[in-house]
Amino acid sequence: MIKNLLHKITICVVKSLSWAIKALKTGSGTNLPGKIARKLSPDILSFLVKQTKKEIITITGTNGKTTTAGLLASVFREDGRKIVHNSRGANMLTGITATAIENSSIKADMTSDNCIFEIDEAYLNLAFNEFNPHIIAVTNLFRDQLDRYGELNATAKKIESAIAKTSVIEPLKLILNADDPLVSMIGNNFSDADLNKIFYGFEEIIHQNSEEKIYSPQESINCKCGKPFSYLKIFYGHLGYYECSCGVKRPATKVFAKAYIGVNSSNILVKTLDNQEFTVNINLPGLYNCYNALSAVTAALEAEISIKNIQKGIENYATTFGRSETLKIKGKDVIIQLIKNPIGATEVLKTVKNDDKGKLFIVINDNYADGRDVSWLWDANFELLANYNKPAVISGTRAADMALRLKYAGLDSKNLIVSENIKSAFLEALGNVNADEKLYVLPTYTALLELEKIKKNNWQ
Amino acid sequence: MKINIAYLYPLLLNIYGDRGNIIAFTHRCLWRGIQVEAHEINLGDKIDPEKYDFYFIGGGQDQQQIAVSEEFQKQKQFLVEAAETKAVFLSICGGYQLLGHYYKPHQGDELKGISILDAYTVAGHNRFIGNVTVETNLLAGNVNTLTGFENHSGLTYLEQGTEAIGRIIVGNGNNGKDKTEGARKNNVFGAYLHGSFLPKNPHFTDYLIKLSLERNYGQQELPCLDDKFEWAAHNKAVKRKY
Repeated sequence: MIKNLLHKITICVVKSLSWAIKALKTGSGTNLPGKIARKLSPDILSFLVKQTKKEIITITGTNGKTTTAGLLASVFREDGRKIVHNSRGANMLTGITATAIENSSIKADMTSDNCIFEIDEAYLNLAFNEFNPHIIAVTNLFRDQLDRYGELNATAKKIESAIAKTSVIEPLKLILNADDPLVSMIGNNFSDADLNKIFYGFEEIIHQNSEEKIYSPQESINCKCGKPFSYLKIFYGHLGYYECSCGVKRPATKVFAKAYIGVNSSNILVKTLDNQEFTVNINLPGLYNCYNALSAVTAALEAEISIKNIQKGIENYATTFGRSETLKIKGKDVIIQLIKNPIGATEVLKTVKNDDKGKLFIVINDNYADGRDVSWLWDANFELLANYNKPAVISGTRAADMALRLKYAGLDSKNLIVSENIKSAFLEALGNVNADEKLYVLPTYTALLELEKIKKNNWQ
Repeated sequence: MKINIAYLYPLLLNIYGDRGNIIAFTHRCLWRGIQVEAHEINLGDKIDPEKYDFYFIGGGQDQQQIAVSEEFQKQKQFLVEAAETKAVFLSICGGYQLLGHYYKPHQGDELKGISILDAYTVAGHNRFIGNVTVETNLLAGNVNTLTGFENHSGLTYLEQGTEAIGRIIVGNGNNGKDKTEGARKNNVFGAYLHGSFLPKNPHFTDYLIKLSLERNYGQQELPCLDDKFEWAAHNKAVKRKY
């Protein structure tokens, strides 16, 4: 009883605090309330999440967490379910705690059908101390923020140790990207009784503008036996059909698809082992978003959602701020796409390259959450922009590094406008865009948060 | 004039923007009318010590470093010959460790190097991650700072016959104790500086280009370039908080 009372008090305190933060427009209001809640009632997250009626689903991996979780949430809503979802990409424990409180009543009831949480790879372990997921989806493991987590293989091991912590009565469903060798090898040491591995992957990728062979940064991935994998097909980064002479190869998939990639949207033809076949339209650019959609489709099928609701949910998905979101600002088209690592950034640059009417605004920060090392700019294929012959505005704490990268990628220095202050640089970039053009905004994570603040101020 | 570059094992060692060093070196040659040909050397490729003027090797993860250490033992005599005939080497992080005598990990066997630097590396217990600024006296008459980003747990110690490329102003450098960063023996250089290193240290890049030309063409003066962007990036990174 006393415990319950404490939870109620915590929820009241945190709800009013969140309200105050929002009213004062000081930030997105997700981090501080969560921190305070966890101080006041350390087991509040566990208490609330345990009330979930159906599946608790977590999404992890380096790229695509926010979009995959967003697509899945849209599908579940289409199915009429009440869900709790950390939609703004706050994917550490404080953010998830704040989300849970936001969705609970002041009586400490969280009457939801499902939880859909994206969780940072490094925080999965801590999260599973507090609740047990029924489904975990892993999108991919690219080189990202290595200065935070060490190296790629270490990240895969972190996810495994988190899985080892879970204990549900039925076997945990682990949804894995078969095309990523680092992801598909996760959980090899677990028995089938504990873990039900479900693989998804692509069979074929068809580009509407059939492109020339483009350099993409690649990670050399070794098999568990120590030898490097060889590839029969590469889709992007290290995703594709791989095999090793020791016999290990890309696993057979339960859900598989063909992707047809357009300029700003795509569709995928999905097939399953039990002979279902359907098309899903994705109103997001690039192959990377097809992977996000296929991951969401697979998770939704495992949660027994109808194909009709899956199709509708994905088609109607409204993007999250900064994740391929298209906006109209002061009458001009603006698309904001987070960039944070070489492989993801290269995929985004392919989209920019294909749009003659696009102008660029790139914002590179080097705060902790961005990764303090800006070396990755040199691994991303900015050479794709070599023929870009318009003004480009560059901003952020490491604007100078980004401008230098573009100079060496073949852009004319005269076109590079460097301005560290994000707000004034944004207004300048927007001012340079004509009515029939589009502004491509490519920010790192903390730069995206700053843009979100400017948005709250009506882009003033 | 022409420089042949050997880019050693890019499929295995290419972490943290190492490619940026090749991009910077190549462009700064081409802008001055110096021809450049970059050749990727992969596992099993025989190295011709006469052919290449500039060797570059980057860093990588543990398994990849083991593979390169083994391959290095097969190629050792050719690389030693190249170093003795004044070819220029730039090695970063994991590659730097393998130009020394050995790298001793916490567990498992020592990874053998090729000893063209008098240095050895042992695994440390902490990872040094952060911005680095170094003061160097290699570049007489030029800016005397070098800057980059370190990310390593190996601790490197220099022996007689090999000097550091500079003294640490910000960061940990070779081992976090003796204030040294990097190594130099004749034309062989090693450093823990990612960033990428060469693009924002144009004076050092030009120094390496001159040394690479000297092998076939004697001492050459390089025409000046407009380095406004290079120095802006350099100055932003110099003395940046660790």
